[in-house]
Amino acid sequence: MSAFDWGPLRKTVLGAIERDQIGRPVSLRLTVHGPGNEVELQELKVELRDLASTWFGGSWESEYVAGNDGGPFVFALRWPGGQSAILSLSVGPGRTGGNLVLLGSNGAIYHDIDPLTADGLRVARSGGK
Amino acid sequence: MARYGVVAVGGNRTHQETYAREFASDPRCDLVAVADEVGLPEYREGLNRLLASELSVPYLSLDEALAREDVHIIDNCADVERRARVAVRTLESGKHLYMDKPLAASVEEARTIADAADRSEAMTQMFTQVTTSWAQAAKSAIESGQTGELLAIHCDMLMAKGKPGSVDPGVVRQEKPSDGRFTHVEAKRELFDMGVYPIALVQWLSGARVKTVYGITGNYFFKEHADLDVEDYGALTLTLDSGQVASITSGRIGFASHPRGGLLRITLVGENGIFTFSESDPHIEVYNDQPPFEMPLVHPFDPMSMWGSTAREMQHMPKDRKLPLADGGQGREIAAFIDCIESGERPQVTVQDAVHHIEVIMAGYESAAAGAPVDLQ
Repeated sequence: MSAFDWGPLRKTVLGAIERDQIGRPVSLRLTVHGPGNEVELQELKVELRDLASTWFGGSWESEYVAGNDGGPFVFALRWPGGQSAILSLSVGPGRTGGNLVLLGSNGAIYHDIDPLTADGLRVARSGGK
Repeated sequence: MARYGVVAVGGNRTHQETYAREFASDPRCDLVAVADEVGLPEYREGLNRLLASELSVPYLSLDEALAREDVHIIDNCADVERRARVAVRTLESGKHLYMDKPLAASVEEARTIADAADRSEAMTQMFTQVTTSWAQAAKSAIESGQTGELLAIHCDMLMAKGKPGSVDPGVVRQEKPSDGRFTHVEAKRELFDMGVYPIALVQWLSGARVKTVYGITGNYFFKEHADLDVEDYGALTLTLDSGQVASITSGRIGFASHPRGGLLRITLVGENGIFTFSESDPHIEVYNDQPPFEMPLVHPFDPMSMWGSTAREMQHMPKDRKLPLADGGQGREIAAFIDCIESGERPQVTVQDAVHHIEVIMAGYESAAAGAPVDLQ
């Protein structure tokens, strides 16, 4: 797993969706830069696609990837019901974090991803926070 | 004393509602008239004449405006399907040209404008977000080395207007290549109309050209867009000829889907990590016992709330819960153009620069229609 703890975010966003606070989720914009190397980058790729699938309620049907070896990457995903996600991810030194926009048919969720607070870097990887 | 006579082409329910007043408020400028081509639809000429009346200036034909020696600048907000014709005539008359965005309705028309600018000594600039404080801060972060070598750029322009939730969720819209029509009363093509802003930012920030475009469009929010078979959301994944990757999101997401006018944001990834710049940050949040924002009534001739004049008619409530610390600097755009005319310095986004925006947008439609990337080189 990557340095980020996605559990609280996954659960909180899913709760808002289930309470019908944004209508039908239709478009996800998720940009993350984390610490680490190629291994963490691959883990991040799996985790972000898994988050998107959770919130859209199933697997994507098409995927396009832009990027260089070692990142940054941009994944453009599309679901059978027309929903889409733009997932931008990278790893490396310097400031980490990112941002999230989940657009619904009748509302939106915004979140600034901050590894020092709610998205807490995992203790095992970061050496504690 | 005013040194530049300005004629505003277009009228109410165009961006001329803002631009003409900004030119008029610059002490270096004198708004001489509102003008446009002859033979326009009645509603368009009526809205043009209404703006002229509001600004207490005469309404002229374009021919009359271009013939006047006391006119130095044409501010072109003609409907985008006519914009190139007005632009080329302006440049051939030797007058400076301020352009609404997007530049033109096709790549061919955009190139025609750029060719006319190449033959002219006049100054040109197209409206973008590059003079805003948050875009300038992003540019400064790159140029000062704060970001380190730039690796990726992500830009968003999502306008919080319109009453969403009216589209049929069971219908998945299939994109098609552009048919060249963009001006509708009820709605606009949002990848074209909003997408031009983040595309311009990517080009301006990177100094690079787009090499490959992958587009996704959707009809996620509004029945008005669905009825016209146009998208209300568009996203592009881009590779640049300088090696970076980029992405943009654009569209209209509904009044209540953002605490302010919308999400206007740049995210940069460089060797030194991730850096975010937005219209609304840093900010304060205000909570009190005043009534919360309520969805305004829908204007019958502007259901997407595209124009300030119709918003005033519907008495939109202010969104004043989230207040940015900095002045956004939106009003610097036209002053910056006058600065360039005075100094001879090249504007930050000329019509020649803006041709590439249209190339990218049209490639985006082609890609979204085909479900495959489009190579621009």
